[in-house]
Amino acid sequence: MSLDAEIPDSLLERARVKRDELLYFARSDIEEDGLYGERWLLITSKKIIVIGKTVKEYPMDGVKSIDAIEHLGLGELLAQIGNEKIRLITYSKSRAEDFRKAVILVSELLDLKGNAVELKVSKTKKKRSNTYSWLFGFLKPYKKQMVLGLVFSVLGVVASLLPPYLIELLVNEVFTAKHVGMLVPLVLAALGAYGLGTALGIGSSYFLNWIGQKIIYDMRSSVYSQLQRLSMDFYDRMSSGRILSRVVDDVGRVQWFLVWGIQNLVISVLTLIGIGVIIFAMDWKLALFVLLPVPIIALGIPQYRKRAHALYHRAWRKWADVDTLLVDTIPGVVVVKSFSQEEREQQRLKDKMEDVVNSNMDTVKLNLSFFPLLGFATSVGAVAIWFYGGMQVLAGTLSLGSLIAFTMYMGQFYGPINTLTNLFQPMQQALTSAERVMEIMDEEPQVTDSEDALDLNVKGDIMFSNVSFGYEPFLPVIYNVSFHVPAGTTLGIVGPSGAGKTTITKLLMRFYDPQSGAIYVDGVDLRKIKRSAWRRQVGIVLQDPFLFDGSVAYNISYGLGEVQPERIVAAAKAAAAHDFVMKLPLAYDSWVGERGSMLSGGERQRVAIARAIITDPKVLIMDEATSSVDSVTEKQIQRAIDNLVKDRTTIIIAHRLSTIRKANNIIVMNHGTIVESGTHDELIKKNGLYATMYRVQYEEEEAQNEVMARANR
Amino acid sequence: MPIDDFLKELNLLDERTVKIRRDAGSSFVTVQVGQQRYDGVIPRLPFPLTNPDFVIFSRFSSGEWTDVAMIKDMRKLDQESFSALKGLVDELYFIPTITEVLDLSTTGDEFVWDVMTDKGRRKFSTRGRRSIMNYNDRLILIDVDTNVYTIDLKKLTDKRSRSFIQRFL
Repeated sequence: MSLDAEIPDSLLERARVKRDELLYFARSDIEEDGLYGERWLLITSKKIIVIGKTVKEYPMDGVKSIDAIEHLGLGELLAQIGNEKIRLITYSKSRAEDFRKAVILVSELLDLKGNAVELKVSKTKKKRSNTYSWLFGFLKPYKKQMVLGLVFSVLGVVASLLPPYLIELLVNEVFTAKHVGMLVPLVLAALGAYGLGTALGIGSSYFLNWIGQKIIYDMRSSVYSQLQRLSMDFYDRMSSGRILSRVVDDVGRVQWFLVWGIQNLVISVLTLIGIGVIIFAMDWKLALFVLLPVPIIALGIPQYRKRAHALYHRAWRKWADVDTLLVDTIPGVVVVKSFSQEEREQQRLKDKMEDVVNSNMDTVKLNLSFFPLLGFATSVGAVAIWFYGGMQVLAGTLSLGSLIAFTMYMGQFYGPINTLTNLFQPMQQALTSAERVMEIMDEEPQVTDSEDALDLNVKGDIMFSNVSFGYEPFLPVIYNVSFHVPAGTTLGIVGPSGAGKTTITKLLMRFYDPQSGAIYVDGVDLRKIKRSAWRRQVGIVLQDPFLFDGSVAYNISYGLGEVQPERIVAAAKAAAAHDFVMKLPLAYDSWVGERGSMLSGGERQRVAIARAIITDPKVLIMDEATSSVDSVTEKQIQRAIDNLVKDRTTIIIAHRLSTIRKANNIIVMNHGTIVESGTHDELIKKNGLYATMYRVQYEEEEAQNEVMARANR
Repeated sequence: MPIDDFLKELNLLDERTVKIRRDAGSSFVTVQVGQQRYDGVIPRLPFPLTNPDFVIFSRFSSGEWTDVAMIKDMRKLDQESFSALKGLVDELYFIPTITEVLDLSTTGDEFVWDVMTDKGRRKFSTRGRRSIMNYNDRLILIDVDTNVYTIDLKKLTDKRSRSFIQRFL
């Protein structure tokens, strides 16, 4: 917590601490008895003080270590004081960041983690754009076409107002007054009005459909380009199913709103005004009956909107859950079948679909509680007009033609009212969808290029200097990591799972920035190098390489545009992939399937190696590239790696230690820090963690070889 | 090792200096480059659809292929060499070109084709999105038995064929 924030003087008095002695303080929201309440942690250079109902002091020189341990919904600060582990304070997860920071500060004071670090977490205030201005922004480029479409629509409305007037003339002048000569002109005029309305309808539909297609193209492109711009932390937070649901389903609903929603809204309002003027001019008393349902609309719609907003948001979330499940289980069908989990997965989908049905039924119930009532009110208005108008016709104060025309206009008047009321439901859906898309559009990438970023051609000298980083703020995954890889040499990184090895590669790729310390390439801070320029010069092969649904050649030359074919062949040969590729039915033109599913794990790995080296990268990163392949494939991949590392800065994260025996330097990581470093021989001599890991693996391999030998006998 | 070193190891030949002769009645050719001679090699296409003029010359022995040389563009060979090589490649890579679509129907994900090809009339089925690929102005069709067909869209000029393609694909 920043010291600028308020801490009551009374607390300082109780703790007998002067404000200028205070280094840090944090407020907990849980009391000693486990109930919600308030406690404070104060840190000075001399002591740690916890203030609740009582005040407890712990002299700093008695504290040997301090840790923040997090449980389900609760965190606690534990201190080793003398031989005892003492719980200093507990807090809910909402306060966890403040207490993690306290641990870092106390550790610095105790110099428990070597050099002092200051973890910086940039919390950018979330932008909240206006949904309407974002939506209408997509219409701007097509203003002319939109206006043209609307003009056609308005003229269509005018054309639709003519027939009732012509019917009035027909009844009054031809049938009643027997002016037979007017029959043909009136029929022709009605035909003309209907014909004109049809033609104008075709015109407006064409323009508005055209705009709709353009807008959905622009909108999906814009959302997709935003997704490409965002950094990895966004993808850590949001599942791919939820992202897909927003790009595909929500954008579709928004398109409907922008094209048909607005068109219907405008036409309906204009029609209402036009007919309103006509019927009030014809007979204002009769016209008043038409307004019967208006109070229900005026009072009901705001209530409806309020409830519908929450219900539709919930329904979309339920749909997104279904999408997520499908995106998860369909690519993982092999695992599902291997574990005979088909029925369980069916049940999971059924459960989620049931949630969708229930959510949708709630919206149906809401709609049924409102719209039929509205429909009934309009019907009552119509019946009242037939009654009151009929009385006037019988009394001779209104002509039959005028009543017929009036009821025709009334039908046309209720049409737009029905349209408007029906429009609110999909409009509400579209607006909630727009808000969901806006959530993506408002995201800001955490990793960006600075304005003065350099387009640097690197030699490949890499230096990590006191780098600390955590995916969760103040919860470091790697802590104060420093190492140097001179250009053209190979560094091996080993360590147990969760030691922070892969995090180092992610930082090196600049998917994330360190929270403290810096990474230097040829002496330049990596944050000062353009990401595209840097990544162009780095090749990476991951443990589970991702191949795209394209040909082998496409995957090897991914992102390079036109590539000379011999270069593709050379890269494949270097990666020991050429021989198996040439055995595929269409060789390099063979399709690899979604995520490379038509290739084996080892084949995918070698295609990924070819992809990493075709650009001749200055730096090559291999993240456990041989951990999931058999020993024959491992040897082939090892041959490929041996080919590649010569004169190239290479960082190999190895599960199998045999792959890094020849490395110039090896660092051993454990719990986010470097615990050993040296060459293979030096580390074996040290007899530490590396030597233990090596012995275990060696014994495992020996045992495996013995089993194989027995089986072959 | 830089990628350029691997490029040198490919033994990429200059087509203008290469003479190719087909070994009678076999799938082999002899490649002569100055004094260097490669006997009994089989032409293989690494990019049969997207770059069918790129040829690798390989030897096959004990179930293993060994590449001995390659050329980027067989069309740059002298006429005699080109004819000899092209003749053999066309035999080994049997990819009929569809000249006319007589009928095309679909049931879900399956397309049933009745076509005229440069090798004669043929009826076949393709299934799934990956069985029809579009490379620039060329469609590649792989039928359910993994036979390959190609359609050069620029050369497919008759109205009925174009209408079928437009309507279904």
